[in-house]
Amino acid sequence: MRIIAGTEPIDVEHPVFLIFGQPGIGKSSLGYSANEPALLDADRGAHRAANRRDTITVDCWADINELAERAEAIAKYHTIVPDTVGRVLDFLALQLMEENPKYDRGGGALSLQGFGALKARFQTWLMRVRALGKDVVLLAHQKEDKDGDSIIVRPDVTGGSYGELMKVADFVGYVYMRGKDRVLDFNPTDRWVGKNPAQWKPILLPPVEKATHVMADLMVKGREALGQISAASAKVSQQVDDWRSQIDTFTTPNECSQAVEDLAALPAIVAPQVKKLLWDRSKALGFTFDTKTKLFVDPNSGKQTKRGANGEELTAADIPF
Amino acid sequence: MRLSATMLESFRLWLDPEQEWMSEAQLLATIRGEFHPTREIDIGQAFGRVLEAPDRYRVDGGYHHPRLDVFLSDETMQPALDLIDRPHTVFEAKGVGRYGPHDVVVKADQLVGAHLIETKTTFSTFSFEKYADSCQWRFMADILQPTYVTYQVFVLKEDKNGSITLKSVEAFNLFPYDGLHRDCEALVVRFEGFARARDLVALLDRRQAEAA
Repeated sequence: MRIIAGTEPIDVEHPVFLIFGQPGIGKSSLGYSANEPALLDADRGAHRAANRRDTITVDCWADINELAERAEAIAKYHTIVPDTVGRVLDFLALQLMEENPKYDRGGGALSLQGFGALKARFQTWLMRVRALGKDVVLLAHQKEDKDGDSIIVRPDVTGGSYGELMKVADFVGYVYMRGKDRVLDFNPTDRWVGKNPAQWKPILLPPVEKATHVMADLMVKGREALGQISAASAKVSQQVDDWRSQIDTFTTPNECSQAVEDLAALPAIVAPQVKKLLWDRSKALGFTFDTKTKLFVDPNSGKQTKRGANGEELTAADIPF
Repeated sequence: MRLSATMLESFRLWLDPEQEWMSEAQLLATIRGEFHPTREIDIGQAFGRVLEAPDRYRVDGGYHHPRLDVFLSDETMQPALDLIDRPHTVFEAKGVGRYGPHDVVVKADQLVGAHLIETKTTFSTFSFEKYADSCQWRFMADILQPTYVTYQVFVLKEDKNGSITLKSVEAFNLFPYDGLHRDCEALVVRFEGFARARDLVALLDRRQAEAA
């Protein structure tokens, strides 16, 4: 076990991509464009895909589960592509209802307890696949849901498992046609859901026959983006820690008031943290903040002065607060 | 006007034509600050306070918030406490964003570097959409500019005898996106129209002036 400090970046080695869109838009072909893919053909639609690579036909959850349990079965592949994940979850639901009647709400639907089991089982499967060093690209059909007055497009998976998929996926992208162009957009909009840690603009996909390494490239860039997010956060954490150490040494209202001046120059994510640390410290010292003069004051002494870098006395107007 | 992300979220929820649980009267009460918290909200507040300062509320076998009169056992709280990177966490950091002439105030439960963590409790079945669709995280992401937002949702159950147990912990990440600021702006503009129609502008302008 290794404890990673908040100031250290964490690498996400195997991000999970969830790609959804309407049937025939080329999702399976995109799946085949991943690095050394094994497409788990649960929907039996792989024959229609372009640039076909290795395909594993799966007919039940046992077939899928076996892949995660027998490392050698998928040893030569780098990316596992359930196609579609909605169908895979249907297989799992069937398996669970066979195992335990309590999971069957009737009419082939899972009970609440059943959804809990499905969530746990699917999480475990995904964890095992990633532990084997595999990247994962989940493919899903789209479905339209009412969202207030408008229609929103989401991945088509049964009931409670939708939330689970959206939770586990690091990237969620929607493939759609814009005129004659095929576009993959990870940005959520009021018309479709998405997750976009890399802040990618909508991606214009090459023609299907030429899109042979789209997902492989996105996986590399996505991994880098997640690493950068983690590194950026660690850097901010260090900056806040430096402030924390400094603020902890403050003992006078002047020191607290002086620090207020620096807040305006801090990045949006740092300033509120430093301000909170400063307020907590001044409160612990028994100081109050005079909103008129914008200075900290020790109520016991009534003194509320503040000195600039050259020792000159500053007024409230000098403080950009 | 001075608005809060919580107020805007209540407004967004009220806009849903299919919802029936929030009446306009309730929304107006929330905006006017006449909101009466339910027992579940009190428990959620106590949960948050304990996460921030567990020692302050420590009692034998758990934590007790005296004002809210909520007891949370060690078994209920420990999984949540274990998730906190206490040396690097800043709790309840506040930010203010400008949308046209209006200020929107947000308060992040936890900031750890550029990572924003929102802690929620629920007594209902966990729903990803409830949180992902919310405008609260959007305003927080737009104003505080974290690299990502994590929701930690603690699904609780209260027995007939009043004891609170933790059923599950659901956590997921959400990320800023292209169009985030535009979405926030659009909601503020829509709220402005509502505030004018319901004579709330003076009240919210006064709040802005007082906070200046």
